Amino acid sequence: MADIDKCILCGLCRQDSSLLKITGKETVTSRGKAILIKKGILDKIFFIDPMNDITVAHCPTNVEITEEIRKQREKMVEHGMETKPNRRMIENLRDFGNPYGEQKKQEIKEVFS
Amino acid sequence: MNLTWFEKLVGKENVSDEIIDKEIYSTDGSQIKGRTDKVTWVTETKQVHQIVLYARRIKKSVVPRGAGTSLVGSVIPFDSIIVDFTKMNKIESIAKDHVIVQPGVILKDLNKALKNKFFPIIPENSSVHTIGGMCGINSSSIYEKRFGKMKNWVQEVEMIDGNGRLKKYGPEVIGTEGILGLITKIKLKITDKIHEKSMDLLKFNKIEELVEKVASLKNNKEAIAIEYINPTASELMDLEKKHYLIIEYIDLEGEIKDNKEIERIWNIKKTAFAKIASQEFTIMEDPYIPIYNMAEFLYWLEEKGIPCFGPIGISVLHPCFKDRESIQELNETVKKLNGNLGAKFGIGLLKKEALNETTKQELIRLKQEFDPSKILNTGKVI
Repeated sequence: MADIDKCILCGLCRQDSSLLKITGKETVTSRGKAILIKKGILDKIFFIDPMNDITVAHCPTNVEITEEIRKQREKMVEHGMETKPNRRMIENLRDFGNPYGEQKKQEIKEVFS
Repeated sequence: MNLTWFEKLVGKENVSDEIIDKEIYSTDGSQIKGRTDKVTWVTETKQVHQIVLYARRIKKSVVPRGAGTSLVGSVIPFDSIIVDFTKMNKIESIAKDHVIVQPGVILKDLNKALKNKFFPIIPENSSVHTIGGMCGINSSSIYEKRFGKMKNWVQEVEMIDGNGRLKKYGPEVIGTEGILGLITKIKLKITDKIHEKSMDLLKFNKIEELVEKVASLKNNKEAIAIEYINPTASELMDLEKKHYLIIEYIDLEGEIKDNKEIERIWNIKKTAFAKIASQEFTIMEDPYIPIYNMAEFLYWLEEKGIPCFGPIGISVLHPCFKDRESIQELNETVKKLNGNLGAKFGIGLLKKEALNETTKQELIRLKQEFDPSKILNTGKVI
């Protein structure tokens, strides 16, 4: 059984989504993403939502949804469907070793991580 | 249908006919697949009213939706407009003995806001369930033995019926699963918070002894919750393979008096379905079994190796299955034991056979009166 097939669409992940409280939309929840993944739908929504809002704290079947989203992003890149900012970020990582691109020395005074 | 009309009514960001939204809102906790025409996220009663009037004019199906957790397909659309109430989530007022809320309010948020007061209809997952959804199915509570069901705690609702009439009703419309009208405001009774409680956690080897204990607690008003876990389920939950009873009291009758320990035990119970579902028993049922046939039912579960838990104090159990084919055998057994199917999760699409003929005829009559065009939550219940 593929990990995503373990999702039983119970909706308990709704309580983990802080974005749901703002948007009210099921697309931002793990269940929303799981339905799209099961349907094989590739959409920019997989790049727009921050991964840190997608948690599995209350998932009864322990679906690793962040890993599934990562795979979905990978597929979108393969199909040339990634977003422009994402493509630029990857190019910058390859060319400059950071996601922001070429930086003048004065531009970044301090880096916190 | 005219998307612009909806955009003007609810705002561009609150309506969608995009494929991703249509796919996501075409299903619910039942995993049945329907078909969505468009999704609207309403924020005000007048928007709901206008949508119903519009849908009636063009004879389009409208499906009200809360958290979409139904296990019986209560919010599956048939080329319908979904009216999502998630954003209608305001607690409008809190008085000494009642509260007025919008249907999208989440129960957990309500109880948090009530502070020293308490709304006692608490389904197992109060963190996602909305008050509107709970009204729809006449939700039960882990404390049902003491506090009854949703219907007992609703004083009044504001509802828009299929004729487009916005009126106030009493609790008689609770449990009609959105087939008569869309509820836009709810007045709920509230009570004092429970401060003193205790618990017993009992293990049994023999089914007869367990059933005898449950029967002896029937008239004990202080025992507000009696939950059961069977040996198959307990094994899947990494507990010692036994029959368990968890009994919560609203006095100090129980041996466990430490609140943290009580909470810990409740959490074990709350994760029952999680643990069972993770081992592929992902379909949960909700039959009612009369206490005089309970022992026979528990023996049947054991013989078949079916994991089961649930509020045995109100004679409802949750046997879990790997596939829908096995449920037919459950239905036959429940009928043979004079039980009912669909005691907790509502009727929706999947449990129509659980509806008795008298109730069905009454609902057909009410549907004709409240929604003669049959636009509201089409295909459900009757």
